[in-house]
Amino acid sequence: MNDETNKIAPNNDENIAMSDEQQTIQNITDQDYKYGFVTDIEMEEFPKGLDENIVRMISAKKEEPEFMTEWRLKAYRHWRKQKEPKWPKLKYSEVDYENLYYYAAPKKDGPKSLDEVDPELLATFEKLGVPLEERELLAGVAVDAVIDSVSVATTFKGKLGELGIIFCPISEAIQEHPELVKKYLGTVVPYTDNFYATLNSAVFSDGSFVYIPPGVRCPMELSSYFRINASKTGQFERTLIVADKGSYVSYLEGCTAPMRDENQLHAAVVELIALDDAEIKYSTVQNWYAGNKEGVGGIFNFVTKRGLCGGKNSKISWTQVETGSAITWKYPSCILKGDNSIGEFYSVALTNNYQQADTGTKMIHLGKNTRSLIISKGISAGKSNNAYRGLVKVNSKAENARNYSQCDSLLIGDQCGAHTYPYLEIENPTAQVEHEATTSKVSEDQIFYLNQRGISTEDAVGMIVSGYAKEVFQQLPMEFAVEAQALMSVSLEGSVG
Amino acid sequence: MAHLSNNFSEWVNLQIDNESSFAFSEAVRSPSLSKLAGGVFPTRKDEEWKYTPLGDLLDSSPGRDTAVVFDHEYIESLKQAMPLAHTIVFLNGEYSEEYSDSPTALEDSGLSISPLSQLEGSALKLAEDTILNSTLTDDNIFQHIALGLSQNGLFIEVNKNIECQTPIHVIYISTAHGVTAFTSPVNVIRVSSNSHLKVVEQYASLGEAAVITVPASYIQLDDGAGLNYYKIGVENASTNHICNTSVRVAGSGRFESHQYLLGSNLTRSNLEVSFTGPGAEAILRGVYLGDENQHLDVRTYLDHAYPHCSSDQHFRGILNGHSRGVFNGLVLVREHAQKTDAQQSNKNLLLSRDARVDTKPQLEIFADDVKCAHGATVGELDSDALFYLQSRGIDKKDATLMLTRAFAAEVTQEIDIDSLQTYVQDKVSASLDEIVIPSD
Repeated sequence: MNDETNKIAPNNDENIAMSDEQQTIQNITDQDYKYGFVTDIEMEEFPKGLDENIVRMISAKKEEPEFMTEWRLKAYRHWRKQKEPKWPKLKYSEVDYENLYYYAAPKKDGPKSLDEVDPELLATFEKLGVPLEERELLAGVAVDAVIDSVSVATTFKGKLGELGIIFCPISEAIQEHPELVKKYLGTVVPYTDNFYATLNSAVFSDGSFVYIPPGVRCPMELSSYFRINASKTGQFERTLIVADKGSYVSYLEGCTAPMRDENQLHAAVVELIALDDAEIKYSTVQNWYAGNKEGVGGIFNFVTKRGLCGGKNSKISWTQVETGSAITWKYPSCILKGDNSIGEFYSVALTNNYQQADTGTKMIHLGKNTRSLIISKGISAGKSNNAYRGLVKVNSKAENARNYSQCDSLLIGDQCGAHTYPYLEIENPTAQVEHEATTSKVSEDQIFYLNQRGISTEDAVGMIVSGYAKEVFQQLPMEFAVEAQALMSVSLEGSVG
Repeated sequence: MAHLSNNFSEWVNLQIDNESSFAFSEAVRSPSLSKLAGGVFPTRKDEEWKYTPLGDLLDSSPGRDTAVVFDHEYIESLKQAMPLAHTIVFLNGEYSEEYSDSPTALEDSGLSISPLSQLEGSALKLAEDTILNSTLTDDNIFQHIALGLSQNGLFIEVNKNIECQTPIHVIYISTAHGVTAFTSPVNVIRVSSNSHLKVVEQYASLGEAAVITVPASYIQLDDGAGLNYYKIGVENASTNHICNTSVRVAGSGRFESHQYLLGSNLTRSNLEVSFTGPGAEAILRGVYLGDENQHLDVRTYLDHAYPHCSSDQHFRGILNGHSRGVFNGLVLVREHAQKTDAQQSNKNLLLSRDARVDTKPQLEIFADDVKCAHGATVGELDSDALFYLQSRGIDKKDATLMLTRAFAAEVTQEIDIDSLQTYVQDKVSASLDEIVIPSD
């Protein structure tokens, strides 16, 4: 888009508009992944493929207690009986699970403090704009950084420790707090849950563990940066967050990944448990490599995220901004078991080029007076496909359940697809369930209006899309909201409706 | 009966070799029969049948009762829905000359109506072409049952530029004693350019008879043609009804459908509409009213393949007792179907503790310059509205009936045949009157 043209010729004739449009569409499709680089760190790898030995080796490597090894093996055996789901509206070349590495870790033993962290890893984060030191000093955010599979730095541990908060790599939690892990791991996402979650249960390498003791309000946003690195490495994070009675925690997860030609598999599991009067807020900004503009490469992201509002008056809120990955398969869900519990889902999913997203949520109402809210904003550009798939289920005993769902789609260009598949299963007459969905485009009028106020078409589109997704961005913590807005503009530069 | 069968699937397989006369030529029948041979019935693992178990239907094995008597008064009462219409009656799938109006009444009207069994030559060819052009999916086993096993049905053709004043009322009545009656009528409706027609299909079953009805209707509207198509189901609680309707609407054509599912044990109605030219329009309306153990399933599929078409769907469910309602509506907007306007709404009212609704309104959109929206709600009656009426001295039961009737009336009031509107609204009221309102 040429600003000069607009100032000189405000009458904006059709042809100019068209060529601008083509130009800007060209720009967006030419957009390369800005965070594509590979960190050159020595990796320790197990042989390719998966069998019981690999599972045992992973468990042994992590010096896990017996119960974990057994649990992993049960999951592995179950996984062998499962089939990859075919129902999502996704097309991709089959993943050869026998041709993957299931464990990769930066060599060297885990560092005790930031000083011991490999400077190259720290440099990686700096390239991503998330220097740990800065976070530690300025933002007051405790970062549990994960490169590939092993947590390499944990900050603010002491400060959190004073409050009795446990925030550590899950591998460490398995050793130091086995009773908590044993009590909660797999209670929300059992190892039999689905193909990807079961695989994760068998081979997960690391992830984060959070425990907030009763009555404690976590004083800072807990944050963990995931990043996929070594080539051909499946990434299997496992996150477990437990908020005990009356506690509160806000957890942030953000991702970027280096450029790769081969598809990388990512199958994470996140389990949240909120007991009586507890609240968990889980925010994600995901910007993994989405493949190049021909749709080659990119991350396959098959994630199982589920929260259990186990106690009365508990609340779980998911917020996600999904701009990356070639394939996104992700349904952060809430099981509203406790009476008066609340589940929320706020999502912005942006797809461009050949990206495909099949994402949404499940709200399972079991307790009385449970409430859920779903706000989903899909944005499709290029030749991408973006589907919302969600379930609202009201059990026969869930008196006075209330749900409101709003699922909007925005199409940019005429080559993309936007789909909405809501499922409403209502077994109780006292339920009040409403679902609404609309589809729209960025209209020429809107752009013209902003153009004639001297705003370039690119900025105008960014502005309109930001406005469209505002309801979701507002849910993000401040630091993340800024990053998410930036990501959106990067992904949308040049796109015109 | 030469063979015995234990269930529906076995029975269907036995029919494949049946030598009786069938409505269609081999060109239509053979592909369907080969699909039926070894064909598998959908289970709840099939996404399209996720909420609708077929157990009751698949457990029964149809037979033939040659000694049935049809109650004259009952037939006349069904005709009362449309006293001014041209009426055609089928009894257990067979055309009844006695109860049907004489085709001579339509001479020179540009409208021709004929039972499929009497169809030959170019008219049969036209009917079969309409079927072969249809868009119903090839793995739809109930369509193949209808086409493969149908012995009769109705063919309606309207010439160009005809404004048909008299609506057509087709009544299918089934009954049997001791065995399960099976019929699979096929209806073919062709409306030529710029002509307009109203057709009412009514399905009824007599007494307590066990009935399986598997109809299929094929409708084709040419440029600028219009059809108002009503489907009324008033079957008994031993009837299982699985129907498929395929509609093709050419440019500037207008298709209007009203479905009222007011009876049966199980009804599954699949309505697929595709636009075959620009500027076409589809209006789909429906009410499903369930009580006791009824299961009512409405599926719609709208294929927007051309630009400037519009569709507007509005379905309402009222569920009482242990009944279950299912709505499954898909709107597909294809890549070049710019300027599409597609609206869909599904509202459900649960009147009892054990009633259940599963709704799945879906949008698949591949064009950007479109207006598409859908909405679905499930809930009980507004307690404020009930309280308001009660505070005006209306007891709770009457208030409930009043509000529920009003809920249905928002759809039924759009029926533009007065006698039919009254008939449907009376049926709805009568069903609601039987409903015992649980006391607080």
